[in-house]
Amino acid sequence: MSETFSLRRWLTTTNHKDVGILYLVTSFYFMFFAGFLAMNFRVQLFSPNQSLFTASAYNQVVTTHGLMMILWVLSPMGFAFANYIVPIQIGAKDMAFPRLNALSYWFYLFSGLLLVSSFFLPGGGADVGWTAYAPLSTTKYTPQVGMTVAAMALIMLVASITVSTVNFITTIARERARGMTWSKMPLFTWGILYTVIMMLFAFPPLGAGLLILLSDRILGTMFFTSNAGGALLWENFFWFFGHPEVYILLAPALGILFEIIPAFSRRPIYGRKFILGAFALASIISFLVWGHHMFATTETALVKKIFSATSVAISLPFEIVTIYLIATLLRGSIRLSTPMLFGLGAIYMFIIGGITGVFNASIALDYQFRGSYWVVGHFHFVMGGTVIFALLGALYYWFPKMTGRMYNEKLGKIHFFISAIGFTMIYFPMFFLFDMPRRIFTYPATAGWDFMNHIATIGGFIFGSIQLLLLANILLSLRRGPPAGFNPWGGWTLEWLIPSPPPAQDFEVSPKIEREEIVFPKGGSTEWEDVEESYTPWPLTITIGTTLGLLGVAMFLPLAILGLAVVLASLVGWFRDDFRGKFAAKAEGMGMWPFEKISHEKLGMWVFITAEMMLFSMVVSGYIYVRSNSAVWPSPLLVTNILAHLQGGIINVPGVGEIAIHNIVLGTVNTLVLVTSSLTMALALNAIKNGNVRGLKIWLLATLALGVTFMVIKGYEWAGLYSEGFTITSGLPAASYYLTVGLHGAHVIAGLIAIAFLITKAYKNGFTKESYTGIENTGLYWHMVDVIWLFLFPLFYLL
Amino acid sequence: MAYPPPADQWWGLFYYFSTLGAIIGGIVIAFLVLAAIKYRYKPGKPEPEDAPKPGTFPKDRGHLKYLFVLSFVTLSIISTLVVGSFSAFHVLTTPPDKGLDIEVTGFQWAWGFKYPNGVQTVSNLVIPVNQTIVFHVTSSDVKHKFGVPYFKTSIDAIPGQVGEIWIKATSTGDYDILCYELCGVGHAGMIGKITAVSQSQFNQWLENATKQK
Repeated sequence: MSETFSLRRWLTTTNHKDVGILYLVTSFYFMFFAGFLAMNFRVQLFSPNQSLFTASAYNQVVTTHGLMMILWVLSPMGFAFANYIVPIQIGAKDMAFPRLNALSYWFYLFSGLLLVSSFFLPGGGADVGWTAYAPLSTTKYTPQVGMTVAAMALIMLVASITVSTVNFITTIARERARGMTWSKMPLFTWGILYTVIMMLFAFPPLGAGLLILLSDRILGTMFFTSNAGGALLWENFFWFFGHPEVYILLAPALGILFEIIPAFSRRPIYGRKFILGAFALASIISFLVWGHHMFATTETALVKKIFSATSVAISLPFEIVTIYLIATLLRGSIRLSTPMLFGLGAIYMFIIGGITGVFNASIALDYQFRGSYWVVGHFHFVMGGTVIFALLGALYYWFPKMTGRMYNEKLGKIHFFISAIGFTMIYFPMFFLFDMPRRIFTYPATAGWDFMNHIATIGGFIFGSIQLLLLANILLSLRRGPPAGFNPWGGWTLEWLIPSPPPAQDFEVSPKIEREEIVFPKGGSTEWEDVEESYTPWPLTITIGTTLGLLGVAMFLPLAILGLAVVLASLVGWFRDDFRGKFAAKAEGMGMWPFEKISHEKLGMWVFITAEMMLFSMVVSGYIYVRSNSAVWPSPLLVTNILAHLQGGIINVPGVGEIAIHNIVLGTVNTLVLVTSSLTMALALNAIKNGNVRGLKIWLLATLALGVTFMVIKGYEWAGLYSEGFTITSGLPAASYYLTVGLHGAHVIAGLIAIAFLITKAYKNGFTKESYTGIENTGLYWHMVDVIWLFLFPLFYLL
Repeated sequence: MAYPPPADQWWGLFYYFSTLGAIIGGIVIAFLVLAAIKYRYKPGKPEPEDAPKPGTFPKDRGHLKYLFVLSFVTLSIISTLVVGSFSAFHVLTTPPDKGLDIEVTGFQWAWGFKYPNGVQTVSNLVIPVNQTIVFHVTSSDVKHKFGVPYFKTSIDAIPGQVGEIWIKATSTGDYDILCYELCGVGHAGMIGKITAVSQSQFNQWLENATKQK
């Protein structure tokens, strides 16, 4: 893998370090893009009544800046380091699923490009703020296709992150070196583990909200325009994701500080166990504070008080973390090198951002702060200040490891001091602008906001332009920097025990932990097979197909069919990839408590199932929400005539009017069909476990047949409902039925495709008594689909 | 300067938060900077005994008792913040008396007002001084946020829902109404005006407006 500039390498790589570099370069590109947008609107806001932008252009620029920085810069940059460093820190040769890792990256890149491209579509891009509040974000008020494309970009990013989550949890749970117990795991890896666990629960709800938004925009449903759903439904979806997201952005940054601060203080971190405990507590509370974004809505006073109390309470664990980071410095021998300066700078930003955050948690102060520049100042200190400064620290810290060369220390220090001053100048004045509304493209001269805005804009230019010095430093040092050696900082973790840059497979022999020491057993046989190369084109082609498909659905349907064809063809290629000598082979049996007995694939599938469960429970919550807010809802309980249930369809109920109910008999039959298919799937697995290939084929075919029957009956039901006028646009009962049951149907179809693939492989004798992971994991997925139906059936047919 | 209700409550709480925040923030930042300077490396300074060694797991350190002290101090401080917030919240959400009810409807991009007797105005609202005004706020299209920054209060305007806030002007004059939620291209210009006049002037104004209706 020596071809540094080979196109083949960078387009088809699956090596975790290459993917890390790709993430790093891409996230930097997006950061400069979104930062450039910010400098533009700082010019617009420099003084009152400026006209650089129209209101519409300004809203697009602000929206793109927010979305891009939060979702395409901060998190992915953290994951650039996570991709590069985590596998090394835990002693693995690569991620658990190298090809999925590449897929995550390409989904990330193309979703970002999709967002950028939405700018140039007719009518412009999304101009509704990064929170995309409904009903403003629905077609009625934001008709341009750019908004649809932006929502598609977000869905694609959610997919990328879900795949990443599966990969990182499996890698960290199963690939650690022998003897590296949870308590010995380095803190950066811990930070990433917390991040992905929070992601696992936070991103599917965003996906659910976006699916419903897209259904409103494309299919013409009215979840967010009707009063039964509307603004509050979206806000609950969005902030259930949105507030944990803040901690998702913060956790990798804190993980970085836990590495940098001790390394440069030359002392172990203070209170490691307490920090990890506080961090866990904060991760849990982060899911219980989303309501503090809704203090100004019509939620009840009690709900607001509870959310206010939890939001104030979350300051406790973060305060402990901050104080313990500072306590680490005491009696140290502190090297104030650039990574350390950025680390200390991040703590300084976090103190300001954290304290002003307590103000925001107050339900009373919120009466003025919500929607004002105070909030802008606060979250930039946390997300811009703390996270970006920690990430820049990480860049200087691991630059020598990644490139083998040292950066220029003097330029680095100048970069730090001017960045810190510029940054404070932008955002501190905003704490005095709590009367000024956010997202206004201009303000009247009489408002008296000029002075603070002058300072902020000047600060913005100082901060923005000094980043060019960072670029210069990187480019210069890549060519001329002095060699770094293995361990320029005297760090203790594994990445510092191997050459800089590390060889393609990181370690010659797998490291082991004996008592308190990391050792490389001499002459010991390596547990890995040699990997000659790790290139595969399929992650990229799947991504291209998906992008075309999404663009097609938004704008031009035939394109979607082409996209689907590309995806399917690539999937066939993916599953036919020859593993021999390719992709870092897994060392089985290295998993540690409580994951010793479970395979990579199975653990990955369980993580994925968790994400799917979150997705479905959020969609179902949406259904329950609109149903409980509707005065009349068709229910079989209203219909006393038993015969009516045999037919389903539109029925006249005295006192209520005409309502639609579903055919319970047909639904019950279909439920039995699906449950039986679970049984046949289990029998298929049982057959191959006993080496019975013929039985496997029969039971797989039976499962396929039952699954197809389920879909045919479903199609028959839908055709009947449509002919009676119960269509997706005929109100919320129909819309929530078609959307939820349709989403389940899409999962059934995906399962059927997988089963069809298993059957062809079985006919080619691809499964044996010893090797049947595909059957096992498809089986798990299939059972999940069936279990979900067991919830949907009573919810939609019986109640 | 005396603030009119309910801004007096808000400012009182804000000063309490700010004073505490400035003191605590100042102490912690000073702690950070002084620690970094005091313990910085100087030539000849020996490495700490427990300095990280490549390939060796660092020793754990830290005492449970400090954790308890820290948590106790923090919890006592933040509980005063919660209590203060809840009591100010009670004032902000509870009009002192029945007052004058005004129905407010946000729309793209202005504010519509409706007096109890049916008189309607757009963007400009005339109110009597020294009387409680209760706003019942909703929206007829997208989400807006009805804010009267001088009185330090505001509330979401949500289609299909009605939110309530109140103010009481203590001196005559003009006060801004701003929109604090992005509501489309007219968001920045969604500025209204409250004019507080004496009770007799208000009565006269309302009488005229009722006649013109």
